[in-house]
Amino acid sequence: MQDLQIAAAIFGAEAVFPTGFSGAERHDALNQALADLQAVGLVESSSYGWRLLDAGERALKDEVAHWSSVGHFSLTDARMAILELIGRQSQHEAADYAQVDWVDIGSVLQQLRWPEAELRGESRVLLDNGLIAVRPASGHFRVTYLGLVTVTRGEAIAARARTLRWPALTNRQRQVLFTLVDWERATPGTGDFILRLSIAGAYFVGHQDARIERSDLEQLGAKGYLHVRQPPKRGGLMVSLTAEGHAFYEDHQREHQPAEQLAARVRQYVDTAAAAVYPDAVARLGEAADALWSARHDPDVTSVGFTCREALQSFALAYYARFYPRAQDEPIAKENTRRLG
Amino acid sequence: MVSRVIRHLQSTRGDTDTNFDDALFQFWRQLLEVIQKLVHDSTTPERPLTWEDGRRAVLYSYLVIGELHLLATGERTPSA
Repeated sequence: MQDLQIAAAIFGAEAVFPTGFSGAERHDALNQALADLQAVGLVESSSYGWRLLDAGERALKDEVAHWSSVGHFSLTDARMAILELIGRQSQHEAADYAQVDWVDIGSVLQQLRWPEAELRGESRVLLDNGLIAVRPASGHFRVTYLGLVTVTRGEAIAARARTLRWPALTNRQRQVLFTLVDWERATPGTGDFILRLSIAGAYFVGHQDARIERSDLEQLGAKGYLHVRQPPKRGGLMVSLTAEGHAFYEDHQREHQPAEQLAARVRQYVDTAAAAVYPDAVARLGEAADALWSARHDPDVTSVGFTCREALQSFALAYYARFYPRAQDEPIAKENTRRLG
Repeated sequence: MVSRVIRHLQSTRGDTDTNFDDALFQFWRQLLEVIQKLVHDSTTPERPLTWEDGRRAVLYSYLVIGELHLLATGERTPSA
């Protein structure tokens, strides 16, 4: 079929013949769409005009299969940002057709606020993969059909990931997973954790203090949060976090109110690591918290004050004894132990 | 007591950390004031003692103890 025949089928013969359709914006839009469909192998052009290919016929019968087969690009955040921006700026919708306009590189740079060399470097991959096209004479960009599919696919995947129900975890399994994320973040480059099995229980090399249940790791592996495997030589297990494990951690932290989450993190730290050093002070704080929740009337909180004061006194003495090097030479006189500053 | 430990630890810390440590110590002292008022029920008649005073005392005691211990140990907080 010639392009004008295709145009007549879409816009109606009266819109195409005999008036000057050739060279009009709608004509350009049609040719642009055909060129993009050719680039993904749905149609081809020859001296006889345009022809639908087998892949195009299949795409008409099963759009889902077609969508599943194109646009499988795993892009870095920077490249996806360029593609989305060019996609947004290119799109041009008229009353009865849509097309993509050429976008000036200056407007892209203005939006992204990147150096031009960086933009050109990152966009090279998009060009090589046919996600954007460039007009050589002016250096203008436009998104291609393949690029639009890729952006839409990316948005759909992100939306699905947000609504996806994560496989359920017990509190202990979640704690194990989050501990591994913390360790990995504390030591960038740590990819694999080696689990050793001993009579006293399982532990990760370098983290002997944290006892781990092997079954928790296996469950986390089965649910996709961890990659658990046998090491090549010695016994035990090799464990690494999967992208799903990281995504679950980030989703979980985001879901909760940030302030609530951060306060809970400090409280947990006080109840575990700090409690090992100041057991009396932390026990008193726990009592103060209980008293607070038990207070039925405002004046009842006075008892909370007494318990908090005891907690801080106990903490200050232990803190001084442990972290002040001359504490033994400069003991605090008993009558001064209430001076906590 | 706490001030001596902070002064000792500050000798190895940069300006930003030192300024934060100073503010943390001021906060510690202010917290003691809040608790003192709580113990003596010494708010003015226009500002009677409320449950919020107790909440403030408990919450910030946790936070200050946690921060002071982090300051001394250089540890990291675990995921909640």
